[in-house]
Amino acid sequence: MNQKKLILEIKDLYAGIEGKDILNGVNLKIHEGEIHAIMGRNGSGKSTLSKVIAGHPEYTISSGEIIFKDKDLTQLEPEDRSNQGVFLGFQYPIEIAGVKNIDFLRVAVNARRKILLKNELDTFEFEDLVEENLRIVKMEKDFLERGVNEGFSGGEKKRNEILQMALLEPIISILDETDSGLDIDALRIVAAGINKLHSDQKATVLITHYQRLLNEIKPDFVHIMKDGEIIKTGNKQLAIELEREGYENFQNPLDKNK
Amino acid sequence: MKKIFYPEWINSIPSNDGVLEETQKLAREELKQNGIPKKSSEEWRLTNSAFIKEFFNLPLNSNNTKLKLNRIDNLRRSLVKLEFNNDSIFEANLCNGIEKLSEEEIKLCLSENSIRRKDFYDFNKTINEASNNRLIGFKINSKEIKSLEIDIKAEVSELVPTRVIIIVEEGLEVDILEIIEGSRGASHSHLIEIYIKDFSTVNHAIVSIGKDSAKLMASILVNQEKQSNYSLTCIQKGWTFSRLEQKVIQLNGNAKTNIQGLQIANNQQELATHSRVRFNGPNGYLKQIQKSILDDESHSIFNGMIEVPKIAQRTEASQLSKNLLLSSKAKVDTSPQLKIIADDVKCNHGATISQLSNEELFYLQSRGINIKKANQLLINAFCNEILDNLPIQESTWSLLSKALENIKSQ
Repeated sequence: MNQKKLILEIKDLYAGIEGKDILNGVNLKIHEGEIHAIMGRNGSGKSTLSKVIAGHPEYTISSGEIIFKDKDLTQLEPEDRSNQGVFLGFQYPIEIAGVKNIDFLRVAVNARRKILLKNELDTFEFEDLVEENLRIVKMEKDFLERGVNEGFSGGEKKRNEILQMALLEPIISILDETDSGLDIDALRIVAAGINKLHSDQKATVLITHYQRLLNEIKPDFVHIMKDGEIIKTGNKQLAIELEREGYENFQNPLDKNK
Repeated sequence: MKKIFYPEWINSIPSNDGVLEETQKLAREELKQNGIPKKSSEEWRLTNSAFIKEFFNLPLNSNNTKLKLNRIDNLRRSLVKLEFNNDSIFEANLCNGIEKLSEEEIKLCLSENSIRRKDFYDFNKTINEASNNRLIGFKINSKEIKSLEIDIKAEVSELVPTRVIIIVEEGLEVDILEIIEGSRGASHSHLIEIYIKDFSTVNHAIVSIGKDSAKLMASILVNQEKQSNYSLTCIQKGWTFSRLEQKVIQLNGNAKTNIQGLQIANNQQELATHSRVRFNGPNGYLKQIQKSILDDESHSIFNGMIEVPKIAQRTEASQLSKNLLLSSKAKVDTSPQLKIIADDVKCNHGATISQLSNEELFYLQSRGINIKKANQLLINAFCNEILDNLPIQESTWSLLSKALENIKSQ
């Protein structure tokens, strides 16, 4: 059997913000075709990990490596990471009044297409592409004419994130609490979108508090994060245990699985 | 003995022996007596007076510049275009729907608007009246006239005074677009007065773009009768020094006013907007938003006064100043002010000064958009709130589209 290719490897990553350490030695390997779930309490470092991978300028890496397809990402600008195929789905997508959603999406898609050696899309070609993808997240066309996330409900913002993911065709998608703030119908739409976009050549990382998202998207691995480290790794069963017993029972650092 | 300012310069200006004679004489006297406005005056406190002095060192553009009126009809609307050039002003070729003001009417307008207050020195206007030999005044009296374009362009280091008086008769709807361009040290002194009669709507935009040390002083004086609508959008970009003074009076209240402004500055440019809106009657409405984008060591000044006297009950007025700083050395002085005597009114005002948001930039970058493009998107978004609301269809006005492209190429 062919060995699956390694897409992302995080090696002993220490990082923080404004002098405060948040990640204290994260190790993680993600291969193509895999779906990983990272679970943990508020403040355990899950969101920080996703932002550090995406290159948020306010976070500083003190040591460690983030290797994406054999290249160290840590020195790259956020836009270069995205163009290489790293996608971050925001927990709180930013509202940008005055920038039309469709214009934003087109600029983003054309930046990625340049890297993929595909031709730049003009307004009309792009509209066709967007309309196809709108169906994945069951969004209406009028969303495109509004400001980026401007006045969108929580569910609409998350669907807009998945639309961006669909359009940018990333190799790895890290989705930070994509399920938060969604009602059950919206959760199903978003989850179906994520499942549809996942493939054997891609990887997906779900950051979540709750098991319910994992009923819709079946993870291959579940990691528990605490105090900036991954303290336990298991399969779907681990998430079920966690839901039943709470995070309290996973306090023991002796459980640490490296 | 009191020092007389710039007598040589003032005496060198050609005199008018026609309809402007009296106004000009008075203005020159006033200019000689008062000279450059003093720093002690609130209105001029923040102005760099070195810029003003430069106006007095310039030769006057004395080609008997006139307005050319061209009527261009197309499928969508008929457009009347005015350009100042070298024919005599009263020989302008007027068309149906536009009627030249008689000398008596012009004199009446001048005297009504030129009552000189001892306690208030209107320098912008005085320098225009003292130096100006070119004025066009007309009435719009037919629904046929939908759009009017006024182009004022100067490309040499001269003082270029221009003055336009427009009376919009009852029940009409007119777009007025002024494009003011200056380059190579040209300095404009522009005065526009608009009288809007009952039940009329005027959408007025001034797109002013300067480069190569050009300067602009402009006054916009608007009188609104009842049930009239007036929208004003003023865009200032690229002037070394620019000062727009807007004065809108709702003569009997019961009218609507919308004012928007956008200043875009870099280097050491100083762009100022002084705005005064007065409600002389009840049930008036005003919405005003003033924005600036400042880079390098540029300086933006906004002084906004809303006057709601006792007679102006049930006035609804809001004024907001929003400023975007792109550099730590840029400077904003903003002062939205309300003077309210009436007790039954809804009025509010506010000001914000901010930088580009790091979170917004990161969001755009995380979607593969480089930092330069991301900056540009956010700056354009800031402008679009004003530009999208331009009361005039961009597509109809080729010059405006060109000017807007220029603005967006920050």
